[in-house]
Amino acid sequence: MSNVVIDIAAEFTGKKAFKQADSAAKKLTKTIGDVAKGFGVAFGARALAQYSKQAVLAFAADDKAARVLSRTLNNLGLAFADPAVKTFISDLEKQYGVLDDFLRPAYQKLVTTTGNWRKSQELLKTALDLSAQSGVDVVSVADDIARAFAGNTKGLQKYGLGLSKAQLSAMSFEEVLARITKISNGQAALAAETYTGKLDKLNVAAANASETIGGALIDAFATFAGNGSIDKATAKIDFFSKLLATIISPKLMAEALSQVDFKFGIIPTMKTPLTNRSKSPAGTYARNQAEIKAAAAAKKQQADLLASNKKTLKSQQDALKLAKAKAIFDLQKIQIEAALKGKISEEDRIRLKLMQAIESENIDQIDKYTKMLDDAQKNTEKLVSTLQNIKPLDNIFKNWNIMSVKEQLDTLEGYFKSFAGSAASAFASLGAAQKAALGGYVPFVGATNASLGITSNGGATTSTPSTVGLGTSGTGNQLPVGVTINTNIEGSIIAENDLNEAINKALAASGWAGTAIGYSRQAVITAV
Amino acid sequence: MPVEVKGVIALRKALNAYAPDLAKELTDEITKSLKVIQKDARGFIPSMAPNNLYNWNDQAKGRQITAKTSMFRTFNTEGRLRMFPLYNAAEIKRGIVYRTGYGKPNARGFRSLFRVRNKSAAGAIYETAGRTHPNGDPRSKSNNPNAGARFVQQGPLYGRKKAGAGGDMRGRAIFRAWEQDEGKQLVHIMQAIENTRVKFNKRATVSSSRESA
Repeated sequence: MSNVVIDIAAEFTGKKAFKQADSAAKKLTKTIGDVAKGFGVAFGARALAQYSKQAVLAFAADDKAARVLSRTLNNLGLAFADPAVKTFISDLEKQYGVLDDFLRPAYQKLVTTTGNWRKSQELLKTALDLSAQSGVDVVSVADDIARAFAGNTKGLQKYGLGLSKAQLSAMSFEEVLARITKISNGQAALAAETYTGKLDKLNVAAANASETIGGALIDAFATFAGNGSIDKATAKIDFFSKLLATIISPKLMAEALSQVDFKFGIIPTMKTPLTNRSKSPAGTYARNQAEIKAAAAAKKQQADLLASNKKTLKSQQDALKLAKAKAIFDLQKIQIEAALKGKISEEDRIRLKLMQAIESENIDQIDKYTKMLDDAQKNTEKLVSTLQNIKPLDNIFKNWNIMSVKEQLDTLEGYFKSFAGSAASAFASLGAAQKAALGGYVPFVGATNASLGITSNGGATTSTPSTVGLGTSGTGNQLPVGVTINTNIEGSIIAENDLNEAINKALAASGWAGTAIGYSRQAVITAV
Repeated sequence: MPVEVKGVIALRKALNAYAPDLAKELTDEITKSLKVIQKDARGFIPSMAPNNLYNWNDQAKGRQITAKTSMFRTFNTEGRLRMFPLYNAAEIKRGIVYRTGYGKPNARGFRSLFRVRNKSAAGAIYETAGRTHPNGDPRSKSNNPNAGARFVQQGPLYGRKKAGAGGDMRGRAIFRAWEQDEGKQLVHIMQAIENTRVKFNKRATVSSSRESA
């Protein structure tokens, strides 16, 4: 960015800033002095020897990790970025209180996958945020992010990003990264500001101090051992640790720290950040060329990865198509289809549809019919429960006093017998005038043959009861039940036409005979 | 080189805390002066690329300068190849801005109080081209030996140059406006600060409180 500016007025405020720096340096010197005093009192030569051994080991491990990362960068054609990466990791370590023992492998995983050292730096920051948010160590998080970059998002499920497995698979890496950033942005910085984070920063400072001292010890041992052998030098570590105890002093420490900046509070950092510029234009050009080349290689790697993913996706889609084509001849499906065409209950129909969806691997349909089946089963259960709770109806006639038919008939018979007796006795008690007034009525009920005028039982002489007083149109006395009246008509019965013809013949015969033909009614009848 | 003043930051802090109306008044006065410089500087920006450098225009037809055709290859902060900034008068004018807030101290402990900037890339080129090599870079390996001189000679550079970092105050837009103003706006700004200081002190003294009561 250009910086063409006219400063119209300026005020010198450096004094205060310098005073603050002086104050910080003095405080640090005092702290170190106190530590050194405590160090001298608390630790004996034996403890110092132990510390020295640990420091040497820490330095060795750190040196190995740094070399591995440098080699990786070199192999990826990113050797020019090695100093910048070292500075980045160093700054990150101090800023967030995360040891470089974790940051280096994490960064290595990312840069190996992406091939882009700047993008890997951004991803490492994202990994730190996600690590702080989820509590998973940064190396694992970086590994998962690197895998996601390569298209395998399975590892990201455990971070609770609010995305399903299917969604994660469907999303691009940039979309997943945006989601991670949205959820975890600023978590690492926040964690670094907590007391735990500050303690971590102190741990980082202590670990770095151990590594630095360890490195110095190794160099010193190698020199003092004569032939540079570390094995021999470590044997003399006890001796040198005693020597170290005598040379550590607050004054020397303060002098050493005066060369560094206090960018992160009391934690020293290098004063000037490294850039991609060289002192000579040719060097800058060479570095830029190398960077362009590396960027192109990273782009190609990403394009290859994308192409590979597309190819895999296509093959999966092809396999699905093939499976669908095979399904046309699938016997199971045919049977289901046939069953669906028959007369089935609604629940059975849903079951068959569900089976059909499962066979064709149609997730939407499976969800739909599973829900429907569930509902149908619930309804059935409800119905069964309702039916079980219904009690049978009581016998509504159980409290009725019903007489048997025989008893009723007996009662009725008794009634009629009593009535018959009373009716007969009542008729018998009537005088002759009263009986005449009844018009010859004789009660059948309870009547005897004598009372009815029957003088003989059977035979041709049996007289019939008098029919005097019997009505024919529903009035007057009625024929008793069982009595039939027969009417006998004697003579021939002739039809009207036959009668007319007979008359005509008689008239014609009279005419032929010369007999006077009278048209009296008597004459006609005689002729016939 | 900027004018060195003392106590302005403290005054403005005090104004913000105890007399916001005076703080606003002071900012308005300073803004008036800075706008004069800004307006003049914008007036010095040609509508098309200067010195008939027509291929430098962003709307140029034919052989426009691109990242490939330019000999000045640059890289942005992300390490990608950056296109050579093309000349666009509107964009350059937009890039001429002023600021009244005090910034962070620089390496020597100075904090800028008021400033005018030419912040667009093409504007910076137009502003400063030819400062270092007025006749083109002698190390240029261009097929056209006069190309460098042709490009940097976009017009005379106004202003003065002094030894030391930040001593070159020559340019074609903001520096020209500042030079031609001959310090009038600076005097106005300083007077405004002094007037505000007096007003503030007057308010702060006990006697003035009694008078007003």
